[in-house]
Amino acid sequence: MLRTLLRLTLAALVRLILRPRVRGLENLPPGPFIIASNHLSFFDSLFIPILTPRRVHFVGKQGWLEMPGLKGKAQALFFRSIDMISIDKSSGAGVTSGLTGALDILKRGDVVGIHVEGGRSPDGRLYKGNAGVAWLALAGGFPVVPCGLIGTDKVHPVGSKRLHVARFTVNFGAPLTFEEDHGRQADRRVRRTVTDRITQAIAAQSGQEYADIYLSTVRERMKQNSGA
Amino acid sequence: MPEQTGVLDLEDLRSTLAEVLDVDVAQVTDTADFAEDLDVDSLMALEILVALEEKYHVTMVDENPQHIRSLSATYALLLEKLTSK
Repeated sequence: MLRTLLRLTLAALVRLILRPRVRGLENLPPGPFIIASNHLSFFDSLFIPILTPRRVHFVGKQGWLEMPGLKGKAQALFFRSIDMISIDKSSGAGVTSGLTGALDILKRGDVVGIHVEGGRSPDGRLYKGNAGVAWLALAGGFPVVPCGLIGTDKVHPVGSKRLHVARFTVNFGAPLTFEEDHGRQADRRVRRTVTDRITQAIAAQSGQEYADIYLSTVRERMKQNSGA
Repeated sequence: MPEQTGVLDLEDLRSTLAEVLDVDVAQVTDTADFAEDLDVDSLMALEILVALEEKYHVTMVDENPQHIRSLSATYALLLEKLTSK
């Protein structure tokens, strides 16, 4: 009840102040599905669930739930209240547990949201998708709705401490299904093909230039260069 | 190139990784980036962790899959595990 109230209040505030354009809601199928999106702003994991007329469990970073202090506790409470699920990417066991948790949510009939790049784009380009989304789609035979966010980085630019009033767009594309490969989630080549199809569909919705490289690789190289 | 030690055989590790990844041994060079050059995704990296755990009898699943980025990095990580056993 409290959760629904919070969600509705946030949605009303966001719609009133930021006036987002939400397109393609007719593409959302009934039953469980996965929303696969790009990632431009810290608030993307909030905007998508509150602007989608279904209960969406967005996959977020475990760190968001473990920040120290009162502010950290409030942040964790907030993210939990909007049904965020966390994946601890710092360990193999954490990734496995996070993915099986997301699969359970889908099997229950709910919606799971994932940023396929595994983090925010540092330059506005769309980076190579991680395979977790394909694993979920193939393991359960769930449809994937590609979602393109445009302009959320203007609402909350990287490093900014406050929200800026700027319009943004959420585009939902037609759902992708992978019936022919259902159950083949253990095959990494199938996962790659499926992930690439999903990423291309996101690019079609977001209009981003595609960078055929993992975001984690770019970050690693930036780290090495700054340390050199 | 990783310094060869008596604790861990580099060529044996190379063969193990090639087998898990289903690629030719020659493709697993010392510095090949698993993700970018051999198309190893995060879930494949998990499979590598599990395979190494079974073969070398060390706990690997608590490790960050992103650290499995190359033969050199995997060798260093495994060597650390084996020497601290």
